[in-house]
Order: sequence, then structure tokens, then C-alpha cells
Amino acid sequence: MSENKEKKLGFGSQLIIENPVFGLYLGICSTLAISTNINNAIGMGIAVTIVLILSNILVSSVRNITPDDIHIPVYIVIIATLVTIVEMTMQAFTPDLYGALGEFIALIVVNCIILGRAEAYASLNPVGASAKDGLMMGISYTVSLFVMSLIRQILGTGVLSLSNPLTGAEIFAVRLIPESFVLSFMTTQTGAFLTFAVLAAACAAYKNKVTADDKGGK
Amino acid sequence: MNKESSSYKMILLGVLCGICGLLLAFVNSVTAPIIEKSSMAAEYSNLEAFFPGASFSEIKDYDDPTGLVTGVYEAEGQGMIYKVHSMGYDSEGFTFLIAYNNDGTVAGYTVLEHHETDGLGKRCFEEDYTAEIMKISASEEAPLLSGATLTSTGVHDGIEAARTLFIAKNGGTAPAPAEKTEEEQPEEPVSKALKDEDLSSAGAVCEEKENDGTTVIYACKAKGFNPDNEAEVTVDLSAGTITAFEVTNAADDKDGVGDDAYEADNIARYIGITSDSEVDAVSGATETSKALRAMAQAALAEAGE
Amino acid sequence: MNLLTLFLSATLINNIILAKFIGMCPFMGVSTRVKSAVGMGLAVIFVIFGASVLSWLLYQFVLAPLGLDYMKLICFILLIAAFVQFTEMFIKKNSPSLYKSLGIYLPLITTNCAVLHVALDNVAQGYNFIETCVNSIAVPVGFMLMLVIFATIRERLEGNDVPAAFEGNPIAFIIAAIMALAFTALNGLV
Repeated sequence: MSENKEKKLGFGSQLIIENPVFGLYLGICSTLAISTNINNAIGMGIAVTIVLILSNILVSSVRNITPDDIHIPVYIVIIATLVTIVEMTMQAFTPDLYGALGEFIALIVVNCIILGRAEAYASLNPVGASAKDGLMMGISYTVSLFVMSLIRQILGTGVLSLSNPLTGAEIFAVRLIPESFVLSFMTTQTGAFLTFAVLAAACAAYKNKVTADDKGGK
Repeated sequence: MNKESSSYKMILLGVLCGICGLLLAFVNSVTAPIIEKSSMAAEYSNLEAFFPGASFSEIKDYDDPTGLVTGVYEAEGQGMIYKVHSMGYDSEGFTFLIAYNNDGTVAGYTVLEHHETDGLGKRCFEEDYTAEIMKISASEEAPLLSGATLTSTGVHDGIEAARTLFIAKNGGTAPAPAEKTEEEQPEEPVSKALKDEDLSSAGAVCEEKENDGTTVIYACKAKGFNPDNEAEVTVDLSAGTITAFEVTNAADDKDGVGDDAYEADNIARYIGITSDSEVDAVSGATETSKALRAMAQAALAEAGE
Repeated sequence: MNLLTLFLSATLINNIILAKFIGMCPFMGVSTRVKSAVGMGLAVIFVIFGASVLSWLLYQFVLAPLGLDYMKLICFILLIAAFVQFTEMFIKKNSPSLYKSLGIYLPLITTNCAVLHVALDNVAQGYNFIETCVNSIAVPVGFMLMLVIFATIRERLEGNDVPAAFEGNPIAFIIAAIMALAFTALNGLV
């Protein structure tokens, strides 16, 4: 019965079907640009999650005192301030990560996910729920980014490596594919688009299958 | 206050912007010093090598029309260091540091990164050429290196850009190094007796052309900027001096580099010298001048003086 | 810096969509019809040029002299939002026909990464006024070029038999991958 079917939709499933990046196509710019290695992916994911949680909390707190027609500038100022703070903090304490992510940290301001969640959820719901929503969205984004980076890094360079963002020291680096078999185009723009297309198609296929199962199971 | 009134909206936006501005100013004051320190940290060890123990600051505002200078650092009270990225043979270019002491002498010259060819462009970063650079002052141009034309031109252009900034900082004139007396022409440092100078890199070879017992005329060949500089050197055997010096093939002249060395005035300096004399090099024509001196040295040596 | 080189590299070689991945959201949404692609492209050129030049002026004459570099992000994005708002009001009032064809895209452009990117880039690269103008025109021209090419291809693709999972956006990304590959051929141009 439909209730059982709905309970079956665990977090993993939810992640794939309502994926903000591969399903709703939000925040694509940064996903394509950052996903060359997992270091950048995790760093960017954490930055976006922090901004998302804080912006959701702040927007939710002011939702009752903000008149409707100035709500966009208000949200923008809040988000821009948060992003600037994150940017300055990263530049000071994690300079390697800051150098790798470059202008995309500043572009978090226009990341559709953040303004989108502010408009769609945080402006309508209390602070606690908004914070949780921010966390969930942030985690989905980070995981999506991580998966894409994993694929691109392994196929494109053959090496899987992780460094400590605060000191730049390498935590581990392991070669999974010999140098001569590496598909170096995966690290270029073409590889980014290709990987994204395949992952988006995979999510769509999964979604179709689940919807078909749902209909068929009745 | 009515939520919909314009004054409410303006106040809300104003207060919001105010709070955000203050917050950002606070975070900025905390993070800015850390950022500045870490951007210099990368260079720190190199800067320390030039001016041990000095305190450094990075100068962000400098006017370099050539675009070759990528970083300017000041060693407080001691000098300036310039980070230069220039193009040589390899399309990636190379990066080096050139430092001037406040008195105008070169405090250091180190290459940071290059992809030049072994035995050719790479020589610009090896001892001989480095020693040449260390000898020039802020009022002179860097010499070129024969056989490494592209790379040394890149080095020359880079040092020129740095030198321009250094002179500009000094108020438009190059500082005169303390030990040197005031002169219109900058003097070449470190003169040695001709016989003691190591001019082997010029590979001078002299052949006896005419010998009448009192004077010998040698046909000499040496490598300056180009390999076949030639001159006829006449040596007076009894006095042990050079009585005539005639350049028969000004090989470097065609490139427009050795001109100064071939000037009549500079050639005249070889007349009357012995192997104990000190002959200064000609600035801006180091290699050619070296070739000429080498030929004079070889001629005197052949004559047994 | 050579202005022609600047123009060519901003339009073709460092194309904002294919090389830099900026401006993707509206790219995916609007590129299904050539007509809307042209409309969007023109609106983007106008907004990016106007907003970026204004941002540059704001930075040079207000933010930089006062040492308020960290206020850059807030000021730029507010300026962009205000610029778009005023443009929309102006077009709506003065030219209803123009509003019908272009006006609906304007609010979308506010959160378009491309506008903020160009504004920040002009400052980061230290361009003077002329270079800022050239860059601010060249980048959206490149954007529009890609948009129109893309829309043409997607229109043609509609009649084809695309696998179910790839329908819609995923196949668009495959097209983008091939286009990116094709345009890398221009890398040696400058």
C-alpha cells in the first residue's frame, strides 16, 4: 500500500530523486567548475552548507518583520554578508583551498540553491525547521559534488588524494589507475559536462524506475 | 510602525546594511593581517636569504608598464626585492628574484622556477652569469649572455623592469654606491691586473703574424658575444706593452651589442698597457669587452710578458 | 592589454559557458527555443554591460579609495539587483512590446552568476575603463553566441529518439560537452 511505499523512500532515495544538483539543476555552475578533485568538493560543500544553514536561520528570523516587496534585497544582503565572511575566513585560514576554489566562493552568493531555499522554505517556516532544511540541502549538495569529483578525479588523474585544508599537508594519496591509462580529458570542461550528463541521466533513470514501480505496485 | 510604510522599509534596509557593514569590518580586521602574512610567507625564505634578519613588507601598489614584475618586497632599511616573471626560450617563462641594496648594488639574484635548456638558457642561472649580475649596480643594465640570447634577453628585460621601479622609488636617480666616487660614467667594479683576470671563457687564441725582434704583431681571435671577434695586437717586446690594437673583425658589432667596446676611445685604452695594467670592462658590452681584453692578455702572454 | 585579444579571448576562448561554467542555470532553462535564446541573449548583454560598468565605477571611485574592498560583494550584488529592477520598470513603462519579448527574462538575470562574475572579474584583473567596457560586452556576446548555437541544436534534437533517461537536460549536457571539445580548438588563436 502507498504508505509502505512512502516509508521505503529513505534518505538515500530522497537524495537521488530530489537531488538539488542533478535533479533540480540548481548550483550547476560551481558543481561543474569545482569537481576536479575531492578536496575542492568537500571544501566547497562545507562552505555552501555553512552559508545555507546560517542564511536559512537568519532569513527565517526576519521573515515576520520583512515587508514583501523588499524581501529580495534583504535576503541578498544577508547572503552576501555571510559569503563575504566565509570568503575572508577561508582566505585567512585555508589559503590553499581558497586559491583552488577561487572566485566560486564569491559566486556562492548567486548559487541558486541558497536564494532558492531562502525563498521557498526559510521565509515560510520557523528557525529550527529552516536550519534543518539548510543542513539537509547542504549535505545533498556536498554528496553530489563529492560523487562527481570522485569520478572525475579517479578517471582523470588516476590518483585519489586528500589534503588537510588548514595546513595543506597531504593526508593520503593513492594511485588507482596507472598513469598511461588515465583519461585526462575528464579533468577538462568536456569531462565535466560528460560526467554531469551521465549522473543526471542516472538520477533520472532511477527516478523513472521508482515512479514506475510505484505505479506498477498498486 | 506600519510594516508597509516606506520609512519602515528604508529603516529596515538601513539598519540591516549597517549591521552587516560593521560585521564585515570586524571580520576584515581580524583576517586581513593573517592574509597578508601568509601571502608573504611563501616568499619569506627567499627574502631572508638576501637580507637575513630584516623585516619585510610587501608592496602592492607599483606601476610596472611591462607587466614583468610580479611582486615587490621591501627589506626595511636595507633594500628592495623584485619578483620577476619573464619569457625566455620555453613558453612557460621563468621566475626569478632580483634584489637591490639601498646603495644601488645588487643584493641577490636567484632563479625560482625555469624550464630553460641545459647548457644554453640554463647558464643564465648558473655561477658565471650570476656573478656578472651581482657585479652590476642599479645604474647599469644587465649584460646579455652569448649562446643564451633569448633567456638572457628575458633576464635583461626583467631586471630592467625591476631597475626602473627601484630607480623610481629612489626619486628618479640610481643611488651611487658608497665606495664609488662621483662620476658621470658608472665604473665597472672589481678591476684586476690583466694577467690575473680569468678570461678563459672568451677562448682567445693569438697567432704570430710578424716578428721583427722588437715588436710582434699577433692575429688574435676571441669569443665575445659572437665567436669570431678578431684583432691585430702589436706588442713591444722590450717595453712589454701593447703599442697598437686594431679590431679586424668586429663580430659583435652587427648585432648592435658590442658597439661601445669597439669605440675608438675604448680601444685606445689598450695602447701602452702591460700585463700588469688594469683594464676596465665596458658596461653594456661585457662580453665583447671581455673578448678584447682576452686578446690583449693572450698577446702579452705569447710575447712572454 | 590588446583590446582585440581581450575581446576574442573573452568571447571565444575563455567562453563564459564552455570554459568557465558560469551562467549555466538560465542557459539550461532558456536554450530550448531559438527565439527565446535570442531574447535572453540580448537582455543579458544589456544587463551585464550596464551593471558591470557601473560596478567598476563604484569600485574605483567609492570602495577602493575608502579601503572598503570587503564590501565589494554586497555593493555589487545590490547594484546589479537595483539596475535590473530599474531597467525592468523602464522597459515596462516605455515599450510594452519590448517588455513582452525581453522583460520576462530580466528578473532571472539578477541571480545569473555571469553578471556578478563579470563585475568581480573587471576589478580582479585590474582593467581600466576601456578594458572594462570591452570585457563587459565581449563576455555576454560569447554567452549569447553559445545560447543561440545550443538552442538551434536542441530544437533539432527534439525530433530525435533520445533515451528516456537522457531526455531533457542530460542530453543537453552531452551537447555542451561536444561543444566544449570543439571550441578548445580555438585555444591557439591568441
